[in-house]
Amino acid sequence: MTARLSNVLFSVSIVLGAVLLLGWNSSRFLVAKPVIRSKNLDFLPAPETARVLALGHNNTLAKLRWIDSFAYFQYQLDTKNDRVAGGGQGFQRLYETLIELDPKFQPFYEHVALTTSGILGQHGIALAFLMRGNHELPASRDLWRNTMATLKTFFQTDIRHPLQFDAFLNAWESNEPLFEEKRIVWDWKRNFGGRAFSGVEQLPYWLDQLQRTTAKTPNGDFVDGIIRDLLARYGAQELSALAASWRIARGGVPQTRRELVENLERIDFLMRLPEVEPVPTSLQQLLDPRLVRHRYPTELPPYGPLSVDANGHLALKSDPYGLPWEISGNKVISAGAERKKIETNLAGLSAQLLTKAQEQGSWPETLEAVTAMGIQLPASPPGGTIVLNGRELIVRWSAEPQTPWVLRK
Amino acid sequence: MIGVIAWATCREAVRSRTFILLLIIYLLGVLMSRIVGWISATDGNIITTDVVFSLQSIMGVLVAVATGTALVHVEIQQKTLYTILSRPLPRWQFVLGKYLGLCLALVAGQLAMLIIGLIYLMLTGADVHQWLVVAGLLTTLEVLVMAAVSLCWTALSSPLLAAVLGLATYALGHAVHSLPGLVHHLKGTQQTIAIVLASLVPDLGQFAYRNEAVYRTPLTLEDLALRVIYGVMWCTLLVVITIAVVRRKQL
Repeated sequence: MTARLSNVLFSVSIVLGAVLLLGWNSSRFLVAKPVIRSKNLDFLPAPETARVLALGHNNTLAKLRWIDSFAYFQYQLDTKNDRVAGGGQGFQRLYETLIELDPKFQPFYEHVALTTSGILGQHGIALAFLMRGNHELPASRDLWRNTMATLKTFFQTDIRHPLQFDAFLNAWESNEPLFEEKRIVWDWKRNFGGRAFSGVEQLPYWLDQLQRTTAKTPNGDFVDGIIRDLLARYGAQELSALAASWRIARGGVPQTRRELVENLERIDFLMRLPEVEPVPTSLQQLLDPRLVRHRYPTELPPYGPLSVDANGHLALKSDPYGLPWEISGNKVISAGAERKKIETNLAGLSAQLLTKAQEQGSWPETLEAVTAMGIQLPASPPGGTIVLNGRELIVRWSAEPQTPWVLRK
Repeated sequence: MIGVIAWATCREAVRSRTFILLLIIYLLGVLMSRIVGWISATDGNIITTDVVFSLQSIMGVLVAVATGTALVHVEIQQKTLYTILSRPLPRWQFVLGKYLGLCLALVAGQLAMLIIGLIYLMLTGADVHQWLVVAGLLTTLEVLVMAAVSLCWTALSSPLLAAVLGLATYALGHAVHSLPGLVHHLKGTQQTIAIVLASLVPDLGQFAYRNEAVYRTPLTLEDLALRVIYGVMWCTLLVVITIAVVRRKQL
């Protein structure tokens, strides 16, 4: 073999090796599936020391730590246990540190309000952070709107302390530099107060939150989930009320005081009670224009379960998840919301499974092994089967949902 | 003569592999900074800007420490130092020429990084404004102070140790910036000792205006001038110490 040939072979083998390695590396990305990380806050310096440790790169470090903590967000969705090593609440300590490092970054305030208030129900902590945000970023309209919505939704400050509420609105208004922008404060006040349908009081707040999140992110999915759950409960409430009206109109007995009050004029006191309590067997029976007109004298609620089709007939939408509404006894339920409940329950069990696996040093391979580890599995729901998918407990559903409601504009 | 040494040092530093490699790493880092922005669940512009400016500082300091510590050592190793010093050239001129040459190379590198960074930010749709330029220039001053620190440590110790000490000084220099807010935790003598020790280290936090610039927080001319004077004074002091050490050194 000549020296020239050996050089060529050597070069070719290097190129081939490099191509092989690059292909190997990139193949990991091509076949990768999205994985939701779930972790604890394992490193969280006190706010005072964080600046010392940042070495002059406060902003960058704060944001990298923030991105890393997104997995903790998922962890909270599953476990709702915000206690961290060293004491205190995880989200509170995390954001105190992040805000100390970078107090001018608006998403910190929005995110902490969302996590502490939305996931953990710690509205007081959320409000404190939002007010700090108003102090640090007085020109941020989003933060003012968020603070006011929190005050109104979770503290009913507009009812309990109207003067204080007005003072906050005035403070917001004074920080809006232009007349046109001041009008936003007034519009916001009017729109938030103008709610016609009970059961969706928090909807404007969450729709507002949704617009400030990005689709397909943990935050975005979380807010989207909250809204769908809210709308599913509202839809079920409205359809159940129509079912009650349908029953009472056919001689059925009101089950609750509310049903009695809402259907008083339908009760014929001379009518004999039927031997068998009438129960609607199909949701189509509820689309009786007289019942619907009585419940909604002026208009159908835009986020309700009913709509009018192209022919002017009443139509039943799917539930917000794209699944059908179902009759269960006297009530109407959302199949999507039921699925969500089961999936949330299983996510909590998966977190328990992780803890057990860490304790025992091995992962189970079957559902029987999961039960043997001391985890109580629920029975498989109708239309679904609980399976162990790697390290996660999930439900395989037999029916796929239709297109869910579009919430994001 | 200082000019000749400075120019030769600058050319040598710019041609060095460390200098070019770190510039390439900076370029790769800048290109990847957008990914950090993408995964942040925001529009990512502010985060990309933060990362780009942090990279300029970190890479600049690495270049300053790597090049600064090797500068005199290479001259001794290649025995070119003896040729230079055999001429009627005072040692202070040699040290000053070396430092100025290093500064020229570092300023060139920093300006290149700043321009690349700003163009990249502009292309990715981030908000580019004059305060970012000011932040970039103050970072350049931070790098020049670190070059003086490295030169000083080289005169006092071996190149490897000087590099380690240089990076430690960088960490300490930023840590002491937060000390005034924490010193109340200490009492009496402890507090005095902490203040004295902290005062021995250049406060590099003075040049970390990048953290505020990204939000368009303005810097007054007076404040800017004070920071520049502070940096120039530290550079002068460190170079004078280096000269004093080199003058007494047995080569």
